[in-house]
Amino acid sequence: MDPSSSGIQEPFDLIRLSLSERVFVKLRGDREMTGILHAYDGHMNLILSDVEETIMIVDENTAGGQGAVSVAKRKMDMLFVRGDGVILVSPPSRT
Amino acid sequence: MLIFSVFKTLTDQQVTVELKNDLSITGVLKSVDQFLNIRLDNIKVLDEARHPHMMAVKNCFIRGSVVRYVQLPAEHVDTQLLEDATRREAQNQVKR
Amino acid sequence: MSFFGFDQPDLEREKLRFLEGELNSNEDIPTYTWAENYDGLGDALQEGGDELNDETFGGIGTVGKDFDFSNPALPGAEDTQKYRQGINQSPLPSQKAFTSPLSTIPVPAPAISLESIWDDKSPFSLRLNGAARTPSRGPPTSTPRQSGIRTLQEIEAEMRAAAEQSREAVALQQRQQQLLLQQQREEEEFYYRQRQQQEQQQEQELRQRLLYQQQEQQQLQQLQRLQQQQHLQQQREQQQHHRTPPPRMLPVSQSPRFLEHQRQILLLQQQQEQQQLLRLQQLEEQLRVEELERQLRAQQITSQNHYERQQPSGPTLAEMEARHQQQLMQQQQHLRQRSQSPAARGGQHNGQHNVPLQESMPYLPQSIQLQQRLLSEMAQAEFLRDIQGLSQADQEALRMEAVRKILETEKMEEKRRRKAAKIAHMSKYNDLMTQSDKDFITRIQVSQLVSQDPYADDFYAQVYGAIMRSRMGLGVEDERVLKFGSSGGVGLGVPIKGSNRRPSAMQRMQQQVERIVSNAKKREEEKGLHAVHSLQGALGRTSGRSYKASPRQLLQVESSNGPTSSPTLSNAQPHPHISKQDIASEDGAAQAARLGREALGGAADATDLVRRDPLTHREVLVTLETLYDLVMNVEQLKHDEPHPEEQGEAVEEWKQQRDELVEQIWTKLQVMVPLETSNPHPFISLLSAAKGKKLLPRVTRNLDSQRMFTLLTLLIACFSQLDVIANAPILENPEDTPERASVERQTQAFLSSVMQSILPTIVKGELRLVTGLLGLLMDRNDVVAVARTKPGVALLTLLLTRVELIKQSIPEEIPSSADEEQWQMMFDHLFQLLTPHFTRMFPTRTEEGEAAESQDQPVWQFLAALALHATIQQHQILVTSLREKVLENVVSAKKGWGMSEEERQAKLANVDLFLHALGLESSQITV
Repeated sequence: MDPSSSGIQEPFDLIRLSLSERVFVKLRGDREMTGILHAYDGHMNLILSDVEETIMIVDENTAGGQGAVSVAKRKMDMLFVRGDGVILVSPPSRT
Repeated sequence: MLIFSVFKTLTDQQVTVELKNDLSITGVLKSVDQFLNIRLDNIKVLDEARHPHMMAVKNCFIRGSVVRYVQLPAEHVDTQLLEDATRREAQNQVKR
Repeated sequence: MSFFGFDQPDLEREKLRFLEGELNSNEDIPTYTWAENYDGLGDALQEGGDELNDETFGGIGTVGKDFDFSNPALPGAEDTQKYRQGINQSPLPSQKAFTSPLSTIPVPAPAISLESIWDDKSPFSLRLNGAARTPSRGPPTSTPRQSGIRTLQEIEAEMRAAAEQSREAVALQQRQQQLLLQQQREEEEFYYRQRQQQEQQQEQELRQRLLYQQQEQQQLQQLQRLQQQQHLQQQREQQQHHRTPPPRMLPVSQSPRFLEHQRQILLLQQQQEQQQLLRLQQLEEQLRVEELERQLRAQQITSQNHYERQQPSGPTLAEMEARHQQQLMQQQQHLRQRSQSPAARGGQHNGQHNVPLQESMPYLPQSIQLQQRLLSEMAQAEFLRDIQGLSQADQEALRMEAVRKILETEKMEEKRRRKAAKIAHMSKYNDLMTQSDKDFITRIQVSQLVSQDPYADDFYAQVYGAIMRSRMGLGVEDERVLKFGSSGGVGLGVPIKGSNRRPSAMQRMQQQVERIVSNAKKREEEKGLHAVHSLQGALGRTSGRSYKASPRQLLQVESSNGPTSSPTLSNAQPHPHISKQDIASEDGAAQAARLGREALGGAADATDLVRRDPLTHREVLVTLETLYDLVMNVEQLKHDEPHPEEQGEAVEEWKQQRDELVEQIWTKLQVMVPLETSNPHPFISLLSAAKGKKLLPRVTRNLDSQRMFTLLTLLIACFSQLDVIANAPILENPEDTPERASVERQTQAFLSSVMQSILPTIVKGELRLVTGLLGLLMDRNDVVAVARTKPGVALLTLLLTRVELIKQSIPEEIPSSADEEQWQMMFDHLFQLLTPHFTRMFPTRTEEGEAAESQDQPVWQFLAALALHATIQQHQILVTSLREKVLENVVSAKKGWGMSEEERQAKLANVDLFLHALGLESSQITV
């Protein structure tokens, strides 16, 4: 981190850096998605394109007391996400 | 007012609204307001069997706060312009 | 207290009696005496100081007894009484006018007692007489006019006369119809005598009669209901007239809106009354029409029967109709009689009814009319069929059909009734707000939405609209600012169709809104800081936090003071122009390299060179965002002041501002940073983000050609550092991975944005420049690797075609022989380098069919461009190396199977691109 060239003042500036980039968004209800961020506002409403949503489903039926986790994925071309469901926004995990 | 602005340009387009109760409604976006309340015409519930009580409903008003997602038609959205508008909004926020 | 029917005590008398103690004996109620020694001392009270009363309070003179309402017989009170009675009288005649002709209030006696309530000695006798006089058909003006109290009675009399006249006309018509009918009947009887199925017809007859009776009953009931409604309304009206309005209802203390509302209600009521009157008249007419229709049908039947000379359907139809008309006649007469005065009412009798219960005209609502019509049609149909002598079974079937149809209509009726009930239930609370109320609220909402600068809040919609409009048609270019919706976009609660007044109302509203907005602006300026926290034109408290779009700041973050420049960026040197004298005789590559180095100001000297790590992704993004801000400011500036000619100063200022911004952009772009600063060069790093690629065209629009050359040179010098070049090998693997997809996207963005931005520069370039660029490319980059990428191919093709253009456009730019030689050398060098790799230049196929061919097309184009500059030997080399490929295409195009026509065409076209440049053609190749 080089603070000298950093014009970041508040968290929203960080999000601003990710405009037009692929981001990873964690939402309420055990949902996650990655998409290219095109717009956001002060409520954390987002508009993403090329989105892939992943819903975690905990399957309680398996024996042994442990629930298996399965996922349901969905793809969407252009999506508006309401801000009150957003938990975090971050660059995608670079594997 | 950014998202409000965006929705204004999308009136008369087919959109799919997913609500927080997992109900997905597709319909023509008729109007929107500053709270992002949505009016849809000619709606069709995506999973009819699970929500039979909506079968007779043609048009509806959806309170903005119960929306989770809105799927938009990609061809009617200008992403470059969106980004610029967002930057502007951010600038104006800082000014305020 | 005469109006309560008590006898009229005299206050004075009572007081006397009280004093004498008489009253106690008559009553059971406890009476209170003021002790036995009440001696009326009050009367004897001597008060002083009354001399000045008149002065203080104003002299009234003697106090009269005018306020003693208990004793109307007092001399001085007559005027007031008459006035009161006048008031009491006026609504009554109107009441009588409505109730008398149509009232079903059974007895005249209660009416008279009601009237007697208002009775008061002399004036009422007059009124009674007046009432008795009205039934005479004499013109109302014959009644002697008195002081204006009479006029209402006159009007009432007029109305009654008019109603009676209309009824007379109806009666006349019916008499005429009756005559006609009689004639027809005679004819019918002549033809109907030979019928055979009398019994069935009688059956039908009976049935129909029953039905008609039922209908009439219903009609009468409805009529009664109607009359009762009217009666109620009139009573309500009266009450309104007599009740003294409470203070709060006085017009002075009400808001104009409320008053308007009341006025509207009154208007509505009046209108309703008028409508009811009209409806009554209309119903009468309809009835007449119905009669006519029935007769028409009867005539048709007769004419048919006459024509066919068939079995008569019996005189029963005609008889029935006649009978029905008789009944109607009787009913009308009865009504007319009832319109006479209550006094005369007693003398009338209700005779000659065949139909029980009825006492009034049959006013039919639509539905019942419909039913009637259907039934009569059915009856006629049946008769017709009877005439034609159908079998018993068929007639049964017909009857069943008739019954079924009746049931159907009843069901529809039922549905309609239910629907109407539902609508009525839902609209019970309609019209709570008047239109002006709604407009008031709408204005507030609109004032919130409409702001001074539409671009501030509504940027996206405005610009998007502008783009769309410019794409569709250039018709409406004046409207830079989108009005939100045609009617203000806010629901006005009124549909807009056929609205002639609406536009002007909206304009007015918008003007008001503008005024509100400008006032608010002034207020805001006055308030200063506080304006930030207030919401203009809002209802209620505005100091909440929710409208502020950003969340509360929990941390106070120190903002850095302005953009601090990195210490390593302080070496912006002006570089020498590419001079023309420096081309000495050197071999091509060295020359090119030198050119490049010169262009970049001797970066190899490395005096100020500081090597550092390449920009991190974060730094790249930060820089890009700053650049975006600057570019948007420039664009905004361009939009704001496009050079007004008058004000020289403003123009200067504006230019200054713009230049400053452009300077900042240039700095931020880091084009002037030495070449070797980092690998990749900061500028190249900037371009590695998709954002950066998209930004470049917007930046280059503002740069002059000088800087553009520099930029271009830098770009070419560091071409292979670009991410699209460096990551291109991943594209060779057709497997679909996210990384591949992202590289694909980046390549696409590069081709569309970056190539587009450097195109104008290259197109303007001289031969020397192009030569230099090509040399630079080859010198500093692995041309082979570059050529295997799409961007590389695109760039090379661009350069080659530019040279071709230069060569062709000889009159304008005559390249010197030296330059041409240079170019040729360069070209040969390139050719040499690429020859072994021609076939590998073709991209791996990721798509099938026609799309695959379009993937190959850029390569074919490049090869054609190569061929254009190639010498004969080079041609031969080209042909030799590409021979397989060409043949493969041609053969498969001509002889292959399982391909669409477009695909063949595409293949041939591709090959032709190349072959034409060689002077050959695909058709020449024999297969």
